[in-house]
Amino acid sequence: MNRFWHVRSARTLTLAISFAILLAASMILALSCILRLVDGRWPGIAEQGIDALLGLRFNDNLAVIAMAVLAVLGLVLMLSALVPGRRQSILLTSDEPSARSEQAISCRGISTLVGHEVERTDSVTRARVKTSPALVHVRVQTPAHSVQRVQDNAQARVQAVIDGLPLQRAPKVKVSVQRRGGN
Amino acid sequence: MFTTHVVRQRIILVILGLVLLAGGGWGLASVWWGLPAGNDFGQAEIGNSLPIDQQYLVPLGLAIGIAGMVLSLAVLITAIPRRPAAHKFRYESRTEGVSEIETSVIAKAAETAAQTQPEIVDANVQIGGSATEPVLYARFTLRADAPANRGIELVNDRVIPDLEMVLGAPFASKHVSFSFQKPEKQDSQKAVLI
Repeated sequence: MNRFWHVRSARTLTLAISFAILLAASMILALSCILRLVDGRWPGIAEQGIDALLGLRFNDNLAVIAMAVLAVLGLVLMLSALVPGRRQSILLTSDEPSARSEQAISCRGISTLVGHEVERTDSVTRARVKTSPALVHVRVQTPAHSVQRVQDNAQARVQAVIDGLPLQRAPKVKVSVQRRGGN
Repeated sequence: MFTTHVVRQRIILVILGLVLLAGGGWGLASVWWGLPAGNDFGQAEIGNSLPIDQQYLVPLGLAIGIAGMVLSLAVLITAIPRRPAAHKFRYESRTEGVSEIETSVIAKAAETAAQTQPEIVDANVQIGGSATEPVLYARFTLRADAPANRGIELVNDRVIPDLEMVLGAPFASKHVSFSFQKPEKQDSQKAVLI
């Protein structure tokens, strides 16, 4: 079954930037050739470029830098294509590939749910949640002196929320408390 | 509800990366280590290895430029994220003849029906496939202050079966995602103990 929601991140931006540059270069090349055909001579910028190339040796600094930049760029593109992106959802227990049924819950949705629950906890003024398929990290702000108690309460609440969701693989929970405000 | 072809994007990037890496790497290897063996590549002028004065330079450049433009445009167009397309399902019956249904109309009705449920804040439904093998793409946003399980069960036990009943066929595949939205007003009963 081809998944629609539970997929690794795409590389749309990298691809778009790379091929926009290639498109611009191709347009400049084609336009220069058309102007050469029409006028019988190269346009100013193209002529300067050809003159610069004619006097350049392969071991000149400029040529070496250009080749190094090309190689590094190629390496970066290959790495960006080969490094697997992170999934932004977690599969539910009702997900059944054999029945062609994909069911997932978004990590952003879990962050919203956990944030709402933690902000309802006594002495919590603000909660920021970041969720990945492996970890739910909650940063809590409290004016209370008894930071440990707030942390324990928040940890218990978050764990209860995660345990209550029908997730195939529940992420770990990490709660960090910052004391801000109060006396 | 947009999707892109992740595998195709990565394959194209690998090919482009390999071409650039091979070009740059071969040039550097030639300059630094004298590869291929025996050639004093580093001392050679770049202009000598390019067909600057050849008659075919302009047509060749034009062809490469146009090919590059076509290729780049094709890749850029295919990289644009797309929604799964809506279809027109055609039903044939001995008694009632032929009828057609726009799946976008059914999807819209399903969204409206789902949003009347207290657990569901928002629904985004798209139906693809064919009349005999429909495919469901849906995202449901549930209320964060309602039990999550109840919303998920509601979608699986009521909303999707109702859709299948309207379509007259079970979904050949279902792609459902859930999210949550906070209520506008927070609970004012909590205590802030300092």
